Amino acid sequence: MRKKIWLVVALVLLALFPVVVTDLYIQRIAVVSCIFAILASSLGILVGQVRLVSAGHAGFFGIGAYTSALLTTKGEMPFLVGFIGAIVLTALVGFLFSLPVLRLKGHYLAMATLAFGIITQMVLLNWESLTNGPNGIPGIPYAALFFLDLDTDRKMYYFTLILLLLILWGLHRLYQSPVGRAFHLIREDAVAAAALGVHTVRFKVIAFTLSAGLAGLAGSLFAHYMSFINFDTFSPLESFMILSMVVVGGMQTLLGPVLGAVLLTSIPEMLRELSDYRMLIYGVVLVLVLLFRPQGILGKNTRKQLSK
Amino acid sequence: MDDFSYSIEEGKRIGLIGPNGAGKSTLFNLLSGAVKPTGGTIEIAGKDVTGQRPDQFSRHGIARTFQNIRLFKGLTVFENVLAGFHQKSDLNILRGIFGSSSYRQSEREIREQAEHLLQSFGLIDKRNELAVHLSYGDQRRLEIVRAMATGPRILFLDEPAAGMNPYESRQLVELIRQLWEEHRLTVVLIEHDMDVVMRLCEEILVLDYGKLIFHGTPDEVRESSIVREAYLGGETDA
Repeated sequence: MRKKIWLVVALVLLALFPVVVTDLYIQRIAVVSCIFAILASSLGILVGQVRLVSAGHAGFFGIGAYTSALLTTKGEMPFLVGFIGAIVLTALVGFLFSLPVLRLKGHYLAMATLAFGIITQMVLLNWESLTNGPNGIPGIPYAALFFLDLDTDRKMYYFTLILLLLILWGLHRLYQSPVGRAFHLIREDAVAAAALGVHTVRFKVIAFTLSAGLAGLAGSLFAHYMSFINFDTFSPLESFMILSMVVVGGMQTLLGPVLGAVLLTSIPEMLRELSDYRMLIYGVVLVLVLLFRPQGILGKNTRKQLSK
Repeated sequence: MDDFSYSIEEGKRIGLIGPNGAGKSTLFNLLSGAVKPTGGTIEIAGKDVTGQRPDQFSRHGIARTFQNIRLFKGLTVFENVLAGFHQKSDLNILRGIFGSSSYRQSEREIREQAEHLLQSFGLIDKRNELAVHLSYGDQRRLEIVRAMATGPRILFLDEPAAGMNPYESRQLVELIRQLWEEHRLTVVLIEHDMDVVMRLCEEILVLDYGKLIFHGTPDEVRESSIVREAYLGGETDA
């Protein structure tokens, strides 16, 4: 019962946020935080629930962003077509990529995903006839629902917030279902899981496809909010930053990636003078968390319990 | 394995013994799909299952425990047993997210069955403890409970009595015998504890260097000079 009260309070606060805080700069941070919260949650499915390394997640983010941007600019399609197209295409790429790659173990899988991230960025840069090369894609239209143009920060905030909440609800339900349980069994001991009838490769592919699709969704939101994208954003460094959000927030929890995204998006903005040191700070924070609290801020302290 | 060929009869209690490195666990790995054979075939009830995955073997009715206990350490006792019901769960993603009534019914049923199982194995009091916190004997028992949750026809137990004192191993023998009787299982057991093997098994296979060097009843094995030689002049455990 207490949990439900907290939930209602949180929702009310979130809903009132842009009404109370009218500073556009802060509203902008809030929207970007929501978008990265979705992106971090998508990586959380892989890294947190199944323990699959993905060191190239910015690649999916980029594929989603570019797909949505191209469909709505060159393709002159409405936002919803771009949005759904981004989700479907990115999920498909994730699915096709995962089939051969998920048979690799540990370090080899990490290297394959890293390569994916690098290759994707290079394709976005060099396929000039499609992606405009280094010039990127300008003039991406606002997101729009049938009746409404999401042309202000406030409208975009509510849209991304609602999407984030729906996604979190869906993931919450998924993680508690037999499919979610299968993810956890694979994470804890894949050999024992297989002996109990879990088709490990199939569930890894499901996780990967779902993760890619959600990352593509975040990419679409990003493109239509920023109205300009180029290859530079979708780099291995960005992949590393998303990974940091997941780890710092608490990779095995539902809300950990969200917290990590909010912290690692908003704090650097508030420390504008330190923007040159942004990557250094991320690196140091990540190492500190891994050393002293590897389960992340929201993670349970099972490390200590397990070592008893 | 070296030219190993044998037919496990349904409903029997079979022991698998031999010196360390004889290939006993390797045989278990082959018969549960954890490892693929480089030659030869494996059949279950006449069906050729050579080269299939472990989860496919599980669907054919094979369940196993592991030599070094592979419980899900970070999960509770209840969650470990629930894991055994994976095959019986509703694995549909959309039904799981939106919670249709058939899905909720299915979840209710397997949870009830898991509780029931824990109850009959005397582990219900510890249902919310992390598996890693159980005593060694309880952990071994939990691994067997979890294997039984899959509803198997054959149970492969890899050194289930390892590390147990005589009292605990007697209890284990009782437990396995009960399971065998109640569920009409076929039980195959790797053990170094001769007391357990002699008490429980009707037929014993003796392995050495991957070869099946002898098989027979406990008495025949006890008398056999071939077996004695393989163990270098005597029984390994008093």
